[in-house]
Amino acid sequence: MYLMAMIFSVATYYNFVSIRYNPQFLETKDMSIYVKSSSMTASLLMILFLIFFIMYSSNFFLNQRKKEIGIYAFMGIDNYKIAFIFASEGLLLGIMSLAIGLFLGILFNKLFLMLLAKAALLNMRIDFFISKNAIVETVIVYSIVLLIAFLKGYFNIIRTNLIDLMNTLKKTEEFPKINYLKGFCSIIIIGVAYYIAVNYGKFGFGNALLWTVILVIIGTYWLFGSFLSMIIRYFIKRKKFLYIGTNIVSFSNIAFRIKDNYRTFAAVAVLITTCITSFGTVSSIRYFVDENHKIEVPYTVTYISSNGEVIEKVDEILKNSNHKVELIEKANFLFDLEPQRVVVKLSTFQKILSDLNVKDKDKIISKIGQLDKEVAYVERPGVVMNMLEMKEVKIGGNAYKIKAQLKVPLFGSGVPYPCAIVSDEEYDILKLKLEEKQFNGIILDNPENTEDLTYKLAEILPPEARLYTYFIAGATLYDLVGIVYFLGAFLFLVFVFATGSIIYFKILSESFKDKGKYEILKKLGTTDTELKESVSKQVGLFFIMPLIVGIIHSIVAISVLSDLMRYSLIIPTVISISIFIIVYGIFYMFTRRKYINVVESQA
Amino acid sequence: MELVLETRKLVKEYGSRGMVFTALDGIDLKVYKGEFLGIMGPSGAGKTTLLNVLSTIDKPTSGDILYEGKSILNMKNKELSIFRRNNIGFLFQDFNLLDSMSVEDNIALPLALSKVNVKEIKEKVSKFSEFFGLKNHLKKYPYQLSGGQKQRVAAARAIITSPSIVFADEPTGSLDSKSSQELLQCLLRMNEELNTTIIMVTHDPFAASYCKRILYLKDGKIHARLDKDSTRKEFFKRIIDFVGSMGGGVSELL
Repeated sequence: MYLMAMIFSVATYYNFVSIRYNPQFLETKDMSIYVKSSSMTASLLMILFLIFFIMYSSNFFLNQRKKEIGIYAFMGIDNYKIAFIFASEGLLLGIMSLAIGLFLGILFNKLFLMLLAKAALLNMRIDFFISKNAIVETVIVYSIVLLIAFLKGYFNIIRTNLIDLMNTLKKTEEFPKINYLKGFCSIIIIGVAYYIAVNYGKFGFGNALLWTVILVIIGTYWLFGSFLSMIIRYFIKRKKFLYIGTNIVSFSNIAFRIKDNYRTFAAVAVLITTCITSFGTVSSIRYFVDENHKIEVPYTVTYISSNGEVIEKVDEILKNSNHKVELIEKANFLFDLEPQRVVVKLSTFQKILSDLNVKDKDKIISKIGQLDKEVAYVERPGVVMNMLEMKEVKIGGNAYKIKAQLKVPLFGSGVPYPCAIVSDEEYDILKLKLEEKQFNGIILDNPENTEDLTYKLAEILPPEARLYTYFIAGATLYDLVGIVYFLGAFLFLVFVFATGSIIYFKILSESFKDKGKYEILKKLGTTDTELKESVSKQVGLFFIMPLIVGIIHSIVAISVLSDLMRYSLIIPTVISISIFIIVYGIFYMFTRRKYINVVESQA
Repeated sequence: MELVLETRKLVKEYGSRGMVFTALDGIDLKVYKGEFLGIMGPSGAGKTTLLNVLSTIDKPTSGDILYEGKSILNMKNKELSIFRRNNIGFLFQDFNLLDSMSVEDNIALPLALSKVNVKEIKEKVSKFSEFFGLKNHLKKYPYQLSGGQKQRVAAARAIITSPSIVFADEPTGSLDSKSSQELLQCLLRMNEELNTTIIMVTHDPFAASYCKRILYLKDGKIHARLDKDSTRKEFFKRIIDFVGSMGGGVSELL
């Protein structure tokens, strides 16, 4: 398990780094900057995980083998020699996993890059490629981490006393005391953090983010340190609940160990939050982009022109193409230069909504109702997040109050400006000051095959016509989102793995401490089924408590995100949480089985 | 008198062919209800093996064990565990309390595992904690108790299921002499007032003198048998004389 995690992390690290050196990826110039920065971030995160993981697991191994070390010490081998032997063993394992990991990393590199290219919709050929730079970088970084781990292990052993070594597992533990104040404070702190997060508008986004993160982390630590003890203690006092079968065993064990474990609980809860939130974010963006496609590209072809000749020519080309015209939308609008914005009549807006058959169009229309000195404001197509709440706009020197902010399809990205909808009377007044233009939008069947059509139209239309087609839309934004999504998903996987490993090691070290307890239980006549049931409950509680907290945290985080995007992100949230639970569940099964093996094996 | 436990030609061998060590060599034993039986013998005589086999923790190589006339040897693992939980109580030298549970929960454990009604559990816990003088310690945890108190908690846990037999394996082994005496008094009261059948393995002639009957085990066989017929003090003297006569001297066996 340790070796597996190490090998996996080496292979992953190599792959992340190698993106940066891959010649084919570097060729695509406009992309390379994104690729470089995301590869940097991803590899940095991997290093952090690695440091954490190695420290954690080396501690675990040390604790497990303290008795063995103690026996050596007893036989008169001095601490320095023992420390050297054990630390070298760790180093050897590290070097082995480095070698295997590099080998596997190189082997799967092509597959990884192909997946990346596929996710990014890049049309490129990926050759098998071994990057010397990436290998050197991986080896250097890992050597440093391993060396630090080696030194730490070495000094750890030197500092230990013989008596501690002999008695590690026997140490009598005491029942933890409860700090009620901290317990209640933790709930309040988390509540405040949520409040700040939800009302980010009031505090400023950057501030809100910083404070929320800090408060949530403190709150989570205290929550597991105190509040959880309070809850578990409550269950232990409720004999009606406790005295049902194996509850008595599982709950007592959890309560007893909570002092040792609450840091792990909290760390895991924070990790889970990070995991779900980041995956939720990238999948939300992807989901959003898919949804947004409707707003950005409501028509197959759009252009701006009121020139009858041009319009006729376009219609001619469309007629001769193998597409069928499903809708032709013509609409007048005013164009404001400072700031760039378009102005549309309310009646035109209503007509477009019903022509495009927009979801909830009746609701939107009735929400706007009649406008007087007010406007309804439609976001610029392609806006992912809006951090500003606007109250007023100035159009042509007149100030208008904003009655509603909307995200609806209107002209699409062919007219990439925000749009103010005014009443028909106001429109006529503004018309005197601003230039009026005509928008033409056409919906065709088979919007995917518009490449040739786009080139033909581009020949006859002047640049100010702002030709925009389905084909053009597909070529710009989506590849970038693809990369972000892929790396996000990959990091998600890495983090799930990290979280799982941390819990796994923690629970495994528990199992050695609990072995004695389960032996007593067996002598008292606990059946194997009951024993398994008790372990399942205990390990299950261990897994579920941070999961619940993590999920609640991330739901709050994603709901803020959805507020920022002005989009309901329920579907991607549910998807990312369920994926997480599935992977996490597999870890649970695995850990549970191992625990049972440890507890059932003869001493 | 009602027969609780009976063994027929019980044999237990360890090791594989060629290297067989016979720990129990054809033990025939009858234990009646309300007995307080002591098992003595030098190290390696098979005392603990006998106890383990009788208490279903270990299986004999051959022979039969009958509880209230029923053989337990063809029970399956799960049945055996449940049988053990409901019919046998244990006292160990090192107490074997669960240090993660309060005294109250430790005593209640066997009943809780059997999913007995909570009200009934509470009643029994309070009854037995009173019996063993633990009323004021119910909310404490084992690490807060003295050795004698811990062993009394273990005793309460052993008889809360009203077992047909309580096995005690050197229960005074890690107690000082005063706590030992207190505990033995408790066991005696258990035996006399609650009519509990007790089988106790011990090295200690003083502890053995509380029993009503003593079996002396040597080389896997029942070597001798002593019955209490007078006061405890005289019985104690007889045990010491007997152990002395077995050779090796009293001091070695004490």
